[in-house]
Amino acid sequence: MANWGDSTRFWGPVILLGVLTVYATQQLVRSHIDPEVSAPNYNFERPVLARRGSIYSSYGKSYPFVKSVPYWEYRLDPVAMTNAVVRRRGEPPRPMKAIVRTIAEAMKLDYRSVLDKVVNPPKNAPRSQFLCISSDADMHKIIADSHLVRGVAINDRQVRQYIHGRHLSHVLGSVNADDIGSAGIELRFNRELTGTPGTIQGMRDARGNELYDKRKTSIPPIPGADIYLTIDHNIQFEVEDALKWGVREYGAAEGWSIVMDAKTGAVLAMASLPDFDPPSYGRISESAKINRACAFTYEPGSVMKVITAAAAIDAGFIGPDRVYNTDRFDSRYYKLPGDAGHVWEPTMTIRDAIVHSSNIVIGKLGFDFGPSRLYAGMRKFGFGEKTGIELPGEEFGILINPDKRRWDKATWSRAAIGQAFTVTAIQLCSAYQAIANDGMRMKPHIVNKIVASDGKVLLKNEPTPAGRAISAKTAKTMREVMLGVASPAGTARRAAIRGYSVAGKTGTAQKHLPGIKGYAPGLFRATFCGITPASDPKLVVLVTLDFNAKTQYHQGGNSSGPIFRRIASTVLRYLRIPPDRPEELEEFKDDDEYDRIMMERASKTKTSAIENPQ
Amino acid sequence: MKRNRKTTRRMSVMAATTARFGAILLVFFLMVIFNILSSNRCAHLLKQKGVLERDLARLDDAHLRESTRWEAMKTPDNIERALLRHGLKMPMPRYDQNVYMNRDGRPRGGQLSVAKAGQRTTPTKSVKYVAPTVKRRTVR
Repeated sequence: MANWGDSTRFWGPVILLGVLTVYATQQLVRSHIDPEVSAPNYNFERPVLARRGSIYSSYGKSYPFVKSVPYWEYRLDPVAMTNAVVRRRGEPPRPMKAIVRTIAEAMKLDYRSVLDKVVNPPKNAPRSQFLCISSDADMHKIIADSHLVRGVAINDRQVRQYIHGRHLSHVLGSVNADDIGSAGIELRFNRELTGTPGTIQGMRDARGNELYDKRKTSIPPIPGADIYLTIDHNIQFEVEDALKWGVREYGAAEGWSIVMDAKTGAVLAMASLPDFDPPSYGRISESAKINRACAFTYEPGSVMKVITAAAAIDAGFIGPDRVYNTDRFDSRYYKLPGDAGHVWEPTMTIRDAIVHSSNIVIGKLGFDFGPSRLYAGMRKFGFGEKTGIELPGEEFGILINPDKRRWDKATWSRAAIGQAFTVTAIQLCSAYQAIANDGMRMKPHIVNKIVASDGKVLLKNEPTPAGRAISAKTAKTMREVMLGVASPAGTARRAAIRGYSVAGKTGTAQKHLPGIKGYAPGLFRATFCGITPASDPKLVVLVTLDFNAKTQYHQGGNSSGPIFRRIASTVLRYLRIPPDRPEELEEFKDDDEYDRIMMERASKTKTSAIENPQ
Repeated sequence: MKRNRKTTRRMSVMAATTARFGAILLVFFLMVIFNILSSNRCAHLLKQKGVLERDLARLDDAHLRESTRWEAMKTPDNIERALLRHGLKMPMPRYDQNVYMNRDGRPRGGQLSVAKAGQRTTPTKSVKYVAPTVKRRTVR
């Protein structure tokens, strides 16, 4: 113990003295050579950019729609360039023109224009002038070589890259120059997509290089969350391709289309024309910015007849085979809508009224059913309220409650045939989804999930019921009734698909234009909304074309029907949905033969209907 | 005896003091050397860390750029264009043209496509390629 005490008495002060001496020496030496003391300007604090989150298709990480990609922004500083002396060791200094030539060749720019920026910089312009933005690593190596080039400032930038170009532009939206979302998903989930920038505090040497051993703080940036959509990029491509073809083929000014999963309400594709190039969002017209699939309301026209009939059948008011007379001037009704010159049999069932799209019969049904019950039925289908889809600018549509503000008597029948109120395309698609899903309307959604950079799931959209619109029995009845529409007897025979049953409804809505009293003559919106396969619904597809000029294709069955067929037949094949009418595949050799025979049957049906008017 | 003891003790104290002083110096020297060496090592490692950090960021960026380029190449639009370049137009196969196989490589039973095998032609047809007239977009 005595030895221990002796050794402690000796080594204790020795170690303490040693530590103090080393510390004092270090402090003394540092105070002389440390740049923190001698040159405090060498301190720096630099923000580190956080990468904005990506937006992916339903296929996941391998198929992104939008990504932020690192780029270099090159800016020319004429003052720095003319004053700089650039030389390699043992070589003469490079003249300014040689430097300009190197820059122009590396950036593939016109030599004269670059030289002009150096020699004659525009008056009142900022000192540094934009040269180009690029991700080319070879070019960056040349420009960053201080023995070759001087006077070019290089800034790190993140550029939002829209990988599919104009496709899905209305859904994805765009970002502004500050990387803030200005439309679409980019705007709606801007907070989630934006990351948290990091910070680096440290010191630089005289050449501006960071002294890594002097780094004080290093807070890494937190990248933004990634968004996974329900949109399938292949379906989206097919839909846009078909819609563009249809708009061109039938001379429409605008068009929009939605493909929805019949069971879950997930939007598989959403297209709106005219579209735009997302990076040039600031320069496009206001009209092109509108997502017509959800941020635009219009009178739906005859596609609403299905909703009227479904509401009436579900309320037990009528059955699908209830017979009405086709007399437009029936004294029991007030100002019934006409049927554009059609000559009908004296009586018609509700089933036939849907198949032939009779305004008179459905108008009478609406009149009998009454505004309150019709309004309640429409509300159950989700009209007059937002569907809650995750896109900015969704409209409510205009649907007035008759208990709060009375409908005039003409509106009773007009509302039943899809006039006197407005809807959005997504509302209409959602209503048809309810019929496809045995009466249960599911909340339409376009975002599958949002995942933070640390893997935490911020949002997961499971299929959510939005309410029962009609009973399963009524829904089945309605699907059976709607089967006739895409048959040779119906208004949408050109929407029929070989091998698959299609339950749908056409709509040819007159357009109202500002400054014109009533409807604009000869201008229509042609809609077809279909469910396929009708026996076990998998898809709901809505197509609308908007005509700004008179055309022979203004009817839903003539223009939107074929587009529907083109979309649905491709998507059914793509999703490997088995045909529910395989006998048609045997009966008809190919689609052309199927078309020809369907048209022949249709013309025979039409002729017999006209030949036998009472 | 007492004197002798005193002398001996005085001598041993001096020797001990010298030894202790030497030890102190040695410890100081060793500590300074250790400090210098560890400082240098730290500085070297930090410099290396900085270089690797920069390399990692550069490679990360390059990977992101390349993956984006590849993803842009396999969009449906570009795939269709590439197929057209080879004179191919490929519509989606019909249900009766799909053949589903079992793990053993044999087609599953009860398939329309299998029943019709031999009757159908391939969905691929040859078309004349027309060069796209779309201008190449340059990044400003």
